[in-house]
Amino acid sequence: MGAMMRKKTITNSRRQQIASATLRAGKFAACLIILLFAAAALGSDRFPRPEFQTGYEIPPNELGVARAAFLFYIDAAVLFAALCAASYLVLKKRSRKGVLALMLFSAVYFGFYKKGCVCSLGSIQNITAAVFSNYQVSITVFLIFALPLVFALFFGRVFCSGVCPLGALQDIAAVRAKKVPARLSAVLGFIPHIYLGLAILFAATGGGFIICRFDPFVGIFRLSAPFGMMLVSVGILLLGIFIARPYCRYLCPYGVILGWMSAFSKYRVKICSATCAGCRLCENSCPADAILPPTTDPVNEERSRSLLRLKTYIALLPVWIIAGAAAGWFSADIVSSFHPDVKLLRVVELDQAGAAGARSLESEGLRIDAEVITVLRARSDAAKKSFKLGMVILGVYLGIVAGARSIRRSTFKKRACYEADPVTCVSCGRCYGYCPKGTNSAIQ
Amino acid sequence: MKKQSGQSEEDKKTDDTAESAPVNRRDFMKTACRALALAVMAVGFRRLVNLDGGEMVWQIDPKKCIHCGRCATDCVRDQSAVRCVRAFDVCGYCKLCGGYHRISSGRLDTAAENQLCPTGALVRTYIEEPFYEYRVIEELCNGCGLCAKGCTAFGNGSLYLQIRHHLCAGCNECRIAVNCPAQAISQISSRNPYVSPM
Repeated sequence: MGAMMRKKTITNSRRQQIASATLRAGKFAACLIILLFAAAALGSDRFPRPEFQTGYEIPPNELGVARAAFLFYIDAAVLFAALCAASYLVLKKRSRKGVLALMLFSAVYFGFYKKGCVCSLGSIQNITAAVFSNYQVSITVFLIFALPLVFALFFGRVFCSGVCPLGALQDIAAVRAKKVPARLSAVLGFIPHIYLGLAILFAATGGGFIICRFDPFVGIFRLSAPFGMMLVSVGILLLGIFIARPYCRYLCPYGVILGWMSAFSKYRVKICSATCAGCRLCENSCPADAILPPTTDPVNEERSRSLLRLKTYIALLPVWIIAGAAAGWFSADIVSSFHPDVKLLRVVELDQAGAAGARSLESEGLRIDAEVITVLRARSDAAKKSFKLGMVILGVYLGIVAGARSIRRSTFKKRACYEADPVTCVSCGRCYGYCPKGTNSAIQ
Repeated sequence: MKKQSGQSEEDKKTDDTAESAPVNRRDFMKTACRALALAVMAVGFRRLVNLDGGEMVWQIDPKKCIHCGRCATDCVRDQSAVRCVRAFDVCGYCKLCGGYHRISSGRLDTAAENQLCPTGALVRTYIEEPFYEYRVIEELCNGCGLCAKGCTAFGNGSLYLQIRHHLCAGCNECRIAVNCPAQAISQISSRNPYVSPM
């Protein structure tokens, strides 16, 4: 009886042993499979995740969120409100003080709070990139680009006066504004057109956003900049004490587009009333030299002579265009050498030619081999080709601008009174306070 | 552009003939040009704007990043908006950490001369033998990527660089993206603003 009992227990324990052994083997196999799968899933998991005995829990990976979308919508709403306020203050209230207060607000909000980005000037490039590639433009960026233009269509360049943070800084700096000689001003006035053309060309070919890169004031808004950049921004502001708004008038590419829109504006800055004494105070007060004096006499010149001059200028228009196109064609190679794809190919080819040890970070980062170089060369050639075409178009455009200017200068347009040129007037409102007749109320 | 406005002017000329003077004609030209410009903008809005995309933010793709160190120097902020972040669920909690220790370090302790991080932003705490937890003190990190390089080369790649959106100035053109030798920085939707290393 006792022996049987013992035998039974033995068989029982043996069965348990066998069962536990198979279980262990199964567990091990399962672990191995899980590990294999885990390793395959994680790719580079060289060290397995440990199993902690002390109850330590692996913390979550908390990275937070990006700036909330509604804040971007608030930015667009503030832009709209500021444009409305600027239109009201400039055209209806005619208050320089009001414009100045709005300027300060804009410099703080769009400049120091928003750190200058994304601004309307830079948004030209976002829109261009979206037109020419699959670059994504969000609704707020589009509004930042389009709202000032829509306002310019109806109320002139009110964006420049009260809303643009770059304009605000320069306007506040312009305390001793002097007149710029008309000829010099006309020559310098070409730079914004060239700048706009180059910015569009670089953005369209994926060559980067040059308006942003050479924005002189963004360092001030960020309260930090490299030394050279700070030197330029302070230099332009110091220059701006004597030459009012130098960036706006002789560099700003967005001002060119605003000028086109403003040429068709419905409501404009009005200066003169019937009581005008012709004292020229308003003309002298204008920091942008945008106030055109009344034409006193009919033209002194003989009609045949003026006509001949006009004909000559019209005949010269194709010459201007051809000259511009030629200049564009010959400068295309120099300009395209600044395109990142062209630059990268140059760096990589230098690396290939040189010693293996002296490779640049670019070669290392892109894991350069023959295939990559072929792709890069194709992209570089494509960029060069688009620059040839783009620079010729830009040259033609500049030729038309130059020709049209000379034609416009030799045509006579009668002005009974002082008028603000809608294309160049930045509607800063300085002239309002200068009129001794107090025309502010009379005009309304 | 002008040609079109001229045509539309002639279409509607009959309405305006009652009021005389060339000023009217000029005003009408302007109105037509305004309408044309608004129409171009409306078409542009329809064609270009992606209403579902959300806002765009800059971010580093950890798979492309080669930890060159330019993030630390090329950001427009004084202290780069790029910081090292941790993926705890990828970490091996190693005692010898390629992201924490210098290669030359003789002893695997927390002595300053044995640490890789130049600012002491990576902190190690003992959990149990042989596991150690590593955490990044974000305020001290300068985004140089030394630890990320070490961890990717020797470990699981649980330390990696990301642009921290509460620090990023949101420039229209990111200066690090321009100078990145691996072209690892691009704009992504703000709805999913971080990229995982796995």
